[in-house]
Amino acid sequence: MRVLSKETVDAIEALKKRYPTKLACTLPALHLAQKQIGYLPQDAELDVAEVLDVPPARVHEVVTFYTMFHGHKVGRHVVKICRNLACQLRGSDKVIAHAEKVLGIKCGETTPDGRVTLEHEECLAACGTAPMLWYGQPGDGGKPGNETFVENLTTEKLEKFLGGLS
Amino acid sequence: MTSAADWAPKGFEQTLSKRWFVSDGWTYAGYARDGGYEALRKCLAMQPDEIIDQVKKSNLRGRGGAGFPTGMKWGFVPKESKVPKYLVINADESEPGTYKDRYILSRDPHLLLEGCAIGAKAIGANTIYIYIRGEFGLPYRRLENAVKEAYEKGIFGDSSMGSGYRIDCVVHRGAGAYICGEETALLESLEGKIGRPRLKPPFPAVKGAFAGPTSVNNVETVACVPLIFSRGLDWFLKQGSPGNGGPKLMCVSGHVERPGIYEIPNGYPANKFLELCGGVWKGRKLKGMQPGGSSTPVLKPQPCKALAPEGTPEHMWPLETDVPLDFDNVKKAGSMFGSAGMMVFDDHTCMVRSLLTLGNFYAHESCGQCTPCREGTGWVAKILHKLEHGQGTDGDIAKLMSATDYMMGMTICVLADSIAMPVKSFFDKYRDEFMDHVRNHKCGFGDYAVEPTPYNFWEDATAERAS
Repeated sequence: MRVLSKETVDAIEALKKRYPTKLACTLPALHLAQKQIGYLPQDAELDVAEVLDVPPARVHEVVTFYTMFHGHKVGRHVVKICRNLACQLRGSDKVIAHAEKVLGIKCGETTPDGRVTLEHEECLAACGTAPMLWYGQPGDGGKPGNETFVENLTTEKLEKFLGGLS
Repeated sequence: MTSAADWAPKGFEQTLSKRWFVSDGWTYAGYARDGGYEALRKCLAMQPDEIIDQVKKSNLRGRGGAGFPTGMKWGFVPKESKVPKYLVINADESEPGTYKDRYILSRDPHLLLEGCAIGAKAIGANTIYIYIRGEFGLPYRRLENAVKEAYEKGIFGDSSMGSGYRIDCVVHRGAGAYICGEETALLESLEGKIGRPRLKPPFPAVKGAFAGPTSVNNVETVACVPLIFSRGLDWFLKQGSPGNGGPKLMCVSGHVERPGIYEIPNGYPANKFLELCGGVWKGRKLKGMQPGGSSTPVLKPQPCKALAPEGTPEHMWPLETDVPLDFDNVKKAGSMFGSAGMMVFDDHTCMVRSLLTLGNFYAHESCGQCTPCREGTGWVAKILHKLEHGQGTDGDIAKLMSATDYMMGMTICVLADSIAMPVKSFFDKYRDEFMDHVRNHKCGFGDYAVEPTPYNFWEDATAERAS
């Protein structure tokens, strides 16, 4: 193994009994790999391909297709603000502009200290609590509170939330 | 507001959303206290055909968007199969404006699991895959917990409730792709590939997940199934309108006083529903609404002949926005009930700008497999951008219309149609607004961005802290 830890490999092996094919483990395996490393470098793709015994190209196309998989290094915290219509009708344009101002970066960028990556997101199914954002720590995903929605945003609530990310 | 009664018409008994208001409604204990899993016990003693027959008679129709009769869908799955059959649950909720499934998953997951188990027995499947949207944090944790509890209580396992029938349930997380809500793209994604819709036929009922006969059903649809057996067929039919059985979760967002999820009987009139939501916010007027999510044609408060009984004089025609909310009536009014994600626009809203937001979304989410969609969604977004920013010409409008003509019905799945239909309906109904953008070389609504105005509906974070 190039980068995957023994725990991650064991967890991927344990997935195999849940599906009739090894290829079907690709998405959950990549979630596990990203949880360990924080993003998915090429070596992680090669490791996953090896454990699952599938062609590396199959794994690579999956990493590039789905927006939750990061092919490049991202910040410790990832903040994705919904820009779709339901949120826009309740003020997400200003939320996004304010986040960019507070962090001093544009959507799609990471703060120079590697703290926060800011991104646009499409509808996250929280239109009744608009405007809202998705928050995650790719290197520690899955833990309660580390992959979550922050809803009913105002500029004050947003500022407080961003300030709390260390 | 936290009381159940605020989220349903007066006197209407909530069944799909009743446990959302109970602090432990999401646990096995909370569900069992309400007589949970008794419907499954009944069904395990029935023949699969009897179950499917009851579901057919209940007029339950798919809540994911298409409104296809659920009993019929289950009936398509062949009884005999040499390869394993599967029940796949579509919990990849991502249609803009829709957020009902997320609340079922996080606040009443056992209702879904009971429906799943009944469905598995009905179609003769031993394995259930629940494909849940990757971004869902709390719903995923709650669902995983519920599946674990269900195994511990013997609902799932080698002999479901001691019946000898084996049911296994696996929760599969997506990783961020709107297209994976399309049933065949979802199956591709479940199999570990990129989410590209498949050519049909073969339909999933013949060759679905892992090449086995498969039924793909929406979360809310399956959550309705236990009610048919616990409350009885008559009760279920009474909760709906002719041809549309059962209660309905209605998500409302945009410019209303009280956005949130309401449980209504199928066929509840949209104008009364808007009153229930406190009406259009800030005392403004209704400009229009999309009744079933972002891909459904917009409805405008204008007289609609199709909704009036035969022979009604014109001045008595109801408005499009008075439509009874069920699949048949919304179709009559020229739109689609889709996934019941209603988005409401007040009269200060620029419709070109709103449509541009949707155009950008579909351009972003096209999987790129079919040329008319890959190129068409891009053209739609670019032309709308030009129009909104005052650089559009008459030629652009003609190009926009011809682009949508080339998209409708030309592709493997309906993603292209999902933006082509709103474009056509927005342009048909708000033509003057589009032309004003061209004539005046600017958007007449000025700075469109509204102040962030949450209503403070229930949050995931609060729910998780409380548990």
